[in-house]
Amino acid sequence: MRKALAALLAFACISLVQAQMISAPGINFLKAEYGHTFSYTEVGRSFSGFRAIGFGGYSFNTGEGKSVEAEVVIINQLVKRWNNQDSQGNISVGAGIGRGRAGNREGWASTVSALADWEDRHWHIMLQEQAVFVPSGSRLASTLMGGWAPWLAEYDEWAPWIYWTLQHENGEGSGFSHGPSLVLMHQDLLLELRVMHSSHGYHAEAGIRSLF
Amino acid sequence: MKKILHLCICLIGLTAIAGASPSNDVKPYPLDRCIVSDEKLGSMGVPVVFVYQDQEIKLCCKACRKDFDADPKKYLEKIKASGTDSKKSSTNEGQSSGGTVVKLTVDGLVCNFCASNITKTFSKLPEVSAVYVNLAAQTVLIELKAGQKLPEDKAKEIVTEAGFNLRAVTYPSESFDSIKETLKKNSK
Repeated sequence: MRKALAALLAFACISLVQAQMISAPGINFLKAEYGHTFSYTEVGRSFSGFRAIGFGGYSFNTGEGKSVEAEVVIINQLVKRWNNQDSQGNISVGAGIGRGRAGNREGWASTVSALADWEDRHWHIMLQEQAVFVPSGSRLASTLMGGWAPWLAEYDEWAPWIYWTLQHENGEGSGFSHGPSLVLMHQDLLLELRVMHSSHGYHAEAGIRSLF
Repeated sequence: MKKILHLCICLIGLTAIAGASPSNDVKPYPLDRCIVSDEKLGSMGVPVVFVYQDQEIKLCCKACRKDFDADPKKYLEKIKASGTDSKKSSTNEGQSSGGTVVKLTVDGLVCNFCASNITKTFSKLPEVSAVYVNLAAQTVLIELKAGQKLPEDKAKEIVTEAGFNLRAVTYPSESFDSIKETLKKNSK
């Protein structure tokens, strides 16, 4: 319990952001990332008041120590948005409750997340925190991403972005990883492919986001 | 002698001022944006102001003057169309559009998901037949079904609920497709 509180406090102190998919009311979202040690999937629907409700599945597995997994009902809330003529900034938070396990021990699980991002049509920077609390274990993943669009594309064209990602996960066998990624956006779809380097060596990761 | 000299200087000054100002026959520039780049006038420094064929022109910077000089006819037509649009817009504030095309300028429209959000939101409306979003111009172009109307206050409410700020609404007289093509060309 102490560990969970400490992690929660640390999380709150690192004023973050999580790139939560909060869309206009009545729009569904899918957000998933498959990583070397941390993977997750979130599916949900946005409602008025910049609130989204859905399901999330999270998995931390370093191959060392206990793996941590959780399946939760999530609620995401856009706290603040800045709309400028050529740019937009967002701060959103999220929380979830459900079932989870650390190794063989199963029980109630909860998640908290926060995301902040700023973007114009050429640049994007995002800070995301995702924490998962399960019986006798907790994990915190912090992600900082900076992206640049080599050229500007319209909504109905393929828009390429080049990102650099820096990620940190706590827990046994975890640590810092970083690497470049290529993001392609086309209408309602975002595909991401990245190569990350960590103490485990190089590994490929992939992500997808979509509105439907 | 000194008085005559002062008088001459004053006369020269007045002549210069009169020459620099648009005459009464010159049509005033109707927009607060550069007709070439669509940038807000003043955002790139002091606007470039001149008169072309009795039309006052205001551009955001010197670079846009080159583009203007390359095809002045095209930009004069755009000014003419925009002038008509703004007049229509001002007479339609808070009322029905009375037309079939609505052009929204939206703040915060910067990425594909923003475009997707706003496209889906407007596409759901029963009175809307087509939606086109142009990110470069921060524009949402809406074609209404025959006989349908989209009042400005309703458009503002929808844009706000989708998470953006509505900056301007116009009701252009051109067709949906022709405006769409112009927006596409200008964003290249």
